[in-house]
Amino acid sequence: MRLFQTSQKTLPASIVVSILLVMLLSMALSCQKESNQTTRLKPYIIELPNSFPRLEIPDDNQPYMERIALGRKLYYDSTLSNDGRACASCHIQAQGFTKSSQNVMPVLHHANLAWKNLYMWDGSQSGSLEELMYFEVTEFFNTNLSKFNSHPEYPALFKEAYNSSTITGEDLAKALAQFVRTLISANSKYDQVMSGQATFTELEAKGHAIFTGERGSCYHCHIPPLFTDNRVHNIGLDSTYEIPANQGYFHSTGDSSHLGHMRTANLRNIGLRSSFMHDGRFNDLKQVLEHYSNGVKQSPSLDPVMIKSNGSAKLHFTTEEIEALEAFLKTLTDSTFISNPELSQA
Amino acid sequence: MRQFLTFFLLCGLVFSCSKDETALSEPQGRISIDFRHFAGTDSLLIGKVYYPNAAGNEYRVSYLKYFISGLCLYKNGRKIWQTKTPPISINAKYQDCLQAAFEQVPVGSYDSLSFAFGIVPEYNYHGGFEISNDDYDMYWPINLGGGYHFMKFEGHWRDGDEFGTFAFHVGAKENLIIHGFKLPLDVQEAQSTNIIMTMNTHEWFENPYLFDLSKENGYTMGNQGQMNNLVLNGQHVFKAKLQDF
Repeated sequence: MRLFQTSQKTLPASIVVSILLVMLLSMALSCQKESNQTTRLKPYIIELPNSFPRLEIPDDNQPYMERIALGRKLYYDSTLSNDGRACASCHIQAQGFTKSSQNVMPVLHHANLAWKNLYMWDGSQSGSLEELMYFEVTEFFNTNLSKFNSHPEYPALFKEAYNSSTITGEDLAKALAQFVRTLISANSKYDQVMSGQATFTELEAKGHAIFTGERGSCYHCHIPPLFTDNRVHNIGLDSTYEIPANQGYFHSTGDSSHLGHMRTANLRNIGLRSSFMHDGRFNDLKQVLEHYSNGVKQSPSLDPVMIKSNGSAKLHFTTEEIEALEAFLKTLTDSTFISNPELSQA
Repeated sequence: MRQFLTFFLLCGLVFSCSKDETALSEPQGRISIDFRHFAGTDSLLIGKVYYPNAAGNEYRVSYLKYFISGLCLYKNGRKIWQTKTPPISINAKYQDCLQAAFEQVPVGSYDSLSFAFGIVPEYNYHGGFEISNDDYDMYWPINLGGGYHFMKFEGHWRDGDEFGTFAFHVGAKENLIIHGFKLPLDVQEAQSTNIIMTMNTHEWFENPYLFDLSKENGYTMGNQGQMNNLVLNGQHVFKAKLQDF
């Protein structure tokens, strides 16, 4: 019996079948490559906090203990940079994995970043955590990969975690994303109240009602439980936008309707911060709340949700309402998150 | 022959592990709805162009996202099939967020369809279905009943020297809009029947309720009267047709 007869030659059926079998087996084996490599690794289940949305994790970077440990080591290692800085130099655990000092731009808050898809104040980075970390490695830090490939420990660690013979920027990004994905803040007093383990004080409860009701309408952008909406908004900090640092998302789109649009801040652990907004112009929560109360400025790119049903962008809070909101916002401080030794430098 | 049998059995093994396909008890096809957005006769350009509305204001759309759910197919006035697919979000800004696909539709001829603009009650509660990070902004506040926004339609308006914003947000079960269309649908086995659903955003501002943004506030959250006006106008925003090839 002959198969695949050509004008020149014919191949015996047994050879053809053998070739096909080899091809099929190699196809089957190639799709098992990632799973064979990871069978030696210890799987890690990221527990989804109550009422958090689905966690989206790329198929090729599923969580394993070894990968998370490697990401954690990298996070605290200044080898990543060329100037002595590590991720943790600016993302300080005790401050909720951010850094804020008065009148200085607050650093991106590394808490619950796994549920975001838009990063940086001006929303200039988007995509998965792996893509964000790739930006950090290749552009922000401009990491010298040869330092990792000649390092006494990293080549073996990457070989174990990712089966990498040569450490690439993509490998570093994947490992960092593994650790950052575990930076979950979901055990604040607010969370405990929501799960029935604690109760708000009278003032906190009043603040919660203002925050989640139309009086404050804060929830429109700071949607619990993530306290962000993964969008950009112009909250009326300025009426004109000549200063490039204030132009926000306009930098990404070139669309004048995006002037002054900044990524919605995640409010978790906000009570630990000492500067607010994209340029750190406010130095305490009262100043932030005063802005929403009386300071919102009109402009053609003011976000539509800023004008409330009474036609005004100013909420005119009473002193007591500001105190209540401040008390509520401080219930978002998660003391276990900022002291969890599993998230600290090993 | 034994060699061929081995080959085909191996083929079966290799490819059977790649997908978990449900055995089909009856022939099934697919219905795909492509959503397109117009301001009158112009293709809607998000964030770029001001369009005149019926009240004489000009409006520019910065955000238009909504859910559709509960697709049903009918014949001779009788409901034949209803989807079990969870609500699907449509975002007018992104090309890859303009299609709603429904699988496992029984093969046959239908003469009309309906769907809910918004979220049918079986899914409309907090956590009623899984949403992606992209749709996280669509939660409806728990103290306003929970569930999800049916629509966020936001933008800016101008009228002479005046300018302002509008935020048409709609949610809550009393504001669900059911759209129905007479449309001959011939669903064939393993084939896609494609429908084009066109939204005319002008309709949100007129017919029957004339929305004059320079005279009234366009912020509808927490304002059932204004949401009701949107529900009335929303009855007329879509037109449906079969896609021609």
